[in-house]
Amino acid sequence: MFNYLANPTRFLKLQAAVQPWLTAAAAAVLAYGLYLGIFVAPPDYQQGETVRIMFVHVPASSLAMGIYVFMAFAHAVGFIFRHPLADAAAKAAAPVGAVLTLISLATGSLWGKPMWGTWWVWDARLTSMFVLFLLYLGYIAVWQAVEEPHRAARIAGIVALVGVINVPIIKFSVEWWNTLHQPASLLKKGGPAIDSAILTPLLWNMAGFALMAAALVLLLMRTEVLSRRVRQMEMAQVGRAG
Amino acid sequence: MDFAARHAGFVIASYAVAFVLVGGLIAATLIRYRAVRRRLEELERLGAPRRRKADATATGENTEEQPA
Repeated sequence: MFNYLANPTRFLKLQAAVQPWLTAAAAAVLAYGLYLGIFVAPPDYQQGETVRIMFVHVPASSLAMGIYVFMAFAHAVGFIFRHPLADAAAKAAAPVGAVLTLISLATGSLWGKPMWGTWWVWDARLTSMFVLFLLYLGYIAVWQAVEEPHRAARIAGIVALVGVINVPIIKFSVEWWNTLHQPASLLKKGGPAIDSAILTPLLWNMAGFALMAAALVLLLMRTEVLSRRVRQMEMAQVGRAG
Repeated sequence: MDFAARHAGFVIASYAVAFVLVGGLIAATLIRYRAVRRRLEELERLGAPRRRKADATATGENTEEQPA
């Protein structure tokens, strides 16, 4: 599969076939998930209506971390196998991950004010999530600052591979340190500690967010492949004129 | 959802932030995609060569060079 997609023309054909279905699935699943989250799920006995913030906050947070791991993996594939589309995939995923991290930070803050009595604390979970946002910005900045794509990919790859160390720190920060942020309630030993009335909409929203992120990354990858083609044509044109 | 509940404003603000950010990302993605596609079509109309042989080799593509 990796080798099959090593040809950008083949990737573009596959992407064109998959994109409409993926986009439609993302819209449908997300709409249903939001409907369940806003209108069907009951208020929590402790959090009240603010539990509905979790239907946005949890999917955004988990995907923000997952996308960074994907970027690091893609760059590793690029470094090891010289896959021509690996760094394009990582580059395409970065803005999606950055926006999801920002959503996670903003919705976490909006949940923190009524529940903790504060918008923000510099505890380990919140701080490491903020570091993830800075890593995304730094990664995007490298691609913007370095003009030559191969060189940009190498530097950005180092940022992604070094920065991925932060992901397990985010995940385990609530266990390693004494934080205001509550410990994991979804991925934990003994199964999720969430009632099915809340868990079901949460899982639908997680699936919807994941499909939406995949659809956006695919379209951004197509844009990246085409923009490289534009760059090559412009350079060839300049070479011909010279 | 009870829109008159005590902390409903925080819930509405959370969804609004998410909608605005995701909407902005989708809009920016589509705008950039359309701009790149327009530029590619423009270059093809001008008869720019599809790619140099060296580039095609570097990207692993097996596409033959298009006639100018």
